[in-house]
Amino acid sequence: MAKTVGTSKEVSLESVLAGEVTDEQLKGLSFEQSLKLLEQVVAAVENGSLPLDGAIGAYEKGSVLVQHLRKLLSGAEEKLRMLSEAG
Amino acid sequence: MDSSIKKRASGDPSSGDGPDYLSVTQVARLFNDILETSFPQLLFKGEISQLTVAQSGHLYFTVKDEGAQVSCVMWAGTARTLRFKPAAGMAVRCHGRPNVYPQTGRLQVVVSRMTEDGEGDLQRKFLELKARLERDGFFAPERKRPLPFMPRAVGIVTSKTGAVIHDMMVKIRERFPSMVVYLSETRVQGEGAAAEISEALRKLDASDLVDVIIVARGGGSLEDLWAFNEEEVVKAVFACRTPVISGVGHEVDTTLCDFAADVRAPTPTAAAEMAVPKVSDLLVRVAELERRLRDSDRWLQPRAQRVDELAGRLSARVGGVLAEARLHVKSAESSLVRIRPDRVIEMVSAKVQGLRDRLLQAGRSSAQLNARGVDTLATRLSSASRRRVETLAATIGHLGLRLESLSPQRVLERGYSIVSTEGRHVRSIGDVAVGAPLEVAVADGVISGKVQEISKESKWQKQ
Repeated sequence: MAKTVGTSKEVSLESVLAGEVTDEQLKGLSFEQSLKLLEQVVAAVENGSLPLDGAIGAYEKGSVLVQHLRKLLSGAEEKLRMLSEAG
Repeated sequence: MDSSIKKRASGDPSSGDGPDYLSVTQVARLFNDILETSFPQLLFKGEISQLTVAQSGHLYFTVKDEGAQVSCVMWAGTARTLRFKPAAGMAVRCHGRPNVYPQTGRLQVVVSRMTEDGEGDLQRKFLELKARLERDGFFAPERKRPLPFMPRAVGIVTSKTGAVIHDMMVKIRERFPSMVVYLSETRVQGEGAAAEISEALRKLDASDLVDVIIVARGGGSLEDLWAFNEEEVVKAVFACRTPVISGVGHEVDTTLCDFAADVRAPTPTAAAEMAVPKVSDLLVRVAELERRLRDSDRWLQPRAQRVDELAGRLSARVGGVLAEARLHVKSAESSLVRIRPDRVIEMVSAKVQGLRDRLLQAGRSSAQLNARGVDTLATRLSSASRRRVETLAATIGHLGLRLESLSPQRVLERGYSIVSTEGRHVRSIGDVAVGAPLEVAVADGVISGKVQEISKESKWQKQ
């Protein structure tokens, strides 16, 4: 079986909209999970069916996800590591 | 070739002029003509000897066996396509056309194809092993796993030296500069290479450092790539918990390792390309989502503002009505839990707002309606809404009374009492036993006692 990337737990859109997710939890997500969640958040906010509070909360969490994704993509150029050195 | 030469060559006497003599050039052409028609394709095998590589790249050599030898030439263009480096003593199989080289008069074979003798055996072994491992399910398509979208790190099993690892690193840095790459080095050819490759794979898989593994080697002959056909390597690839990409050899090369891997890449660089996403593509995708999020923000702000604005207008215009409504509601509030005064106020406010909107609408559309008329309407509106609030408050008060009549105290006042034992209401003779403590609540106090007797007869039960 393909291993899940990273050890982070899935975060559902529902829990984000319910305000149950902290920024720290979002920052622990893998790139793929974050991207998927951001897509859902954007779609939910665009949809306009959220109550105002929910939409603003979702917007804030969306911004956190954008920052997190950018951070995952940036970083210094990596050198080749030898497995034997990795211990 | 014209028939006159052939006739003369066979000494045909009918020409009548006495014997004709061919020029040497004509003889050579004759030989070549015969060789060409008789042996358009000659297949032979033997051992290479006296190999010379000319400056031009043409190969001159002899193929011999115990009893004979044949001169051979291979043109540079053909020599470049060879999958092995010919050397003296090597057993080979050749395809070619014989001819006479006019300048030396030597018979030679122009070889158009040459393979190592024994490669045929290797090919047979390859096909047999492939069939067996396929039957055992090592290549089953339903076992193939998808590659991770973005691995934490990439593992590569290949040689530490050479162009392969270099080219792959260039490709990975180009696509994803900060990608971590672990190399599990191994020899990729020769005696014991299969065991080393398998061990390198196992170590990388067990390290739990990488989310995808690439097995790579540059192109080569079937013999060069043989380690990747060994059962041991196929089984090691199969056993990996991490998805494996096989980038062994070039497009045309196929190894059993390719079949066992989750994904087969045509070249090592193509494998590197499959393993990591392109960071620029991802940044574009994130930027697009961010833009949409910001856009929805722009759309949200006016909505929030409109709500504030409406709230402000509402409280300014109907403040008086609201205060009055609150007062009316307050009296009933204490006995009512489920009907919320704020709901009532909301209803009233909405009604007032609606009426006001209609009023303004009317004011705008009707030219005859003067300011005084509007004032009158406003007054009527105000009294109408007041009446409505009064009606609502009366309803609430009434409900309050009904609720109150249901209170236990009222029931006790009507002469009923409530019997309980140890905090539980007594509803049935089964709720108590003889000797159990009893508490009888009446309108003005509590009487305590004990159960003396229990009878099944109900006082009001019909006989």
